[in-house]
Amino acid sequence: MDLLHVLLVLHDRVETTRVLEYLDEPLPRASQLHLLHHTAEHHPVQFHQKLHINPLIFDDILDQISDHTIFQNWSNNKQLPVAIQLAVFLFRAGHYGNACTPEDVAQWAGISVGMVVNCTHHVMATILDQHDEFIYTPDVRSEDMCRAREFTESRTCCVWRNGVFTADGTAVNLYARPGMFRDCFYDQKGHFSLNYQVRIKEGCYELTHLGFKAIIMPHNLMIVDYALGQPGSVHNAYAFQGTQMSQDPVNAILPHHWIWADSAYPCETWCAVPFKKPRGGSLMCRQNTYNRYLSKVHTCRTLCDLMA
Amino acid sequence: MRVEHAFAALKGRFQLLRELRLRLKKDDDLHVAIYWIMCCMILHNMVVRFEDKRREESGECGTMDWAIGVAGGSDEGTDDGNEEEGGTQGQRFRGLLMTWLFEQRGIRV
Repeated sequence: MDLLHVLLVLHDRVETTRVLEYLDEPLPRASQLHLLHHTAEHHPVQFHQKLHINPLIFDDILDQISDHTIFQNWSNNKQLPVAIQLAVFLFRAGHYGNACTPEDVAQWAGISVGMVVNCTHHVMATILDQHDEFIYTPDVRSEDMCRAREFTESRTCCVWRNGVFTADGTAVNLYARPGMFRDCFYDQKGHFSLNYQVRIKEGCYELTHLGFKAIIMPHNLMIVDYALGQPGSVHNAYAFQGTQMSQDPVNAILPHHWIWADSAYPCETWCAVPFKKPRGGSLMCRQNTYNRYLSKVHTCRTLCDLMA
Repeated sequence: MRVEHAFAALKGRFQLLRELRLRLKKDDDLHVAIYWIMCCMILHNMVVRFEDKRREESGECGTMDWAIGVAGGSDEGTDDGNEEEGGTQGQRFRGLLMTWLFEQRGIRV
């Protein structure tokens, strides 16, 4: 009898509520996106602080990408406006560490974590589609080339004006998320342990960073060519990719033009590097002057290295 | 002194590049890292081009100096390799460049 009663009560509850288990209270979210609209008009500096980009440039990028088919779907559930998707992407790209986890961005934008991931993927796909339009070697007679020549000439001398590129490298650190592997990331003193930072193993050594080389135009820092990957790796997937200039410099670099580079690069007719201080000796005065002028086009770090 | 350094500008504006926190579980995941970096580069070039255009139209100054300033000293370059001794043609070219420089600028040593 009792059982029948319980069943009846349960039946009634299902009839009235149509759910058996109540869900937890949904996570409260407060979108801050509307603040962006306000700051874009009245406080561009704050807009810039959030997205690291000026409102006007944001609009330009928006115009550039919003025609892409990825933003259109036939579903009744419309996607978020492209502007919001781009804002989410820029917010993630502009922060590092804890600030750019999907959870944090979701709270900031007042959308779900899955939505953040979707937005990021959409915008990423559209931007990658623009690759060839924005990363290319300018034509000899193009305006960019003329400006680069003028820049080099103004910094050095007339004969050097055809050195229109500069090259340099850096490393992008790859950290796995400590939360995923919990305690193994921390040593017994509770410090973040460097030994466990990296998860990908290739052969016998672990990957801690990606090598990143780029060739740029000195006057406006436009990236012309680049290479990404792990230095010295034999594995194809990690080998340097997209290095037209360094793989085939004779054809990729325009004739009678050359790259300014630092002393890590080879000394070639297409690549001008500074003189390196011989071990135990010192550079000649002429060589020092040459290095100083080269660093006016290239970076000041070359100069610092030499002084050190 | 303004440092002509695209990496400083990249890492200042797209600070994600300081530390890519990705769930790197499979080999395949490394492509995601590469996609992120490529996206940042393309966006960087977009900003460069659009700011150039805006500067021509209205004379506004760009934000490249800001991005370089934000990056601060975070860019740690350790690419000091061995100098190649063999490239005699390249070294001759460098010598030629040096001679030209001294002739053009009228520097006497």
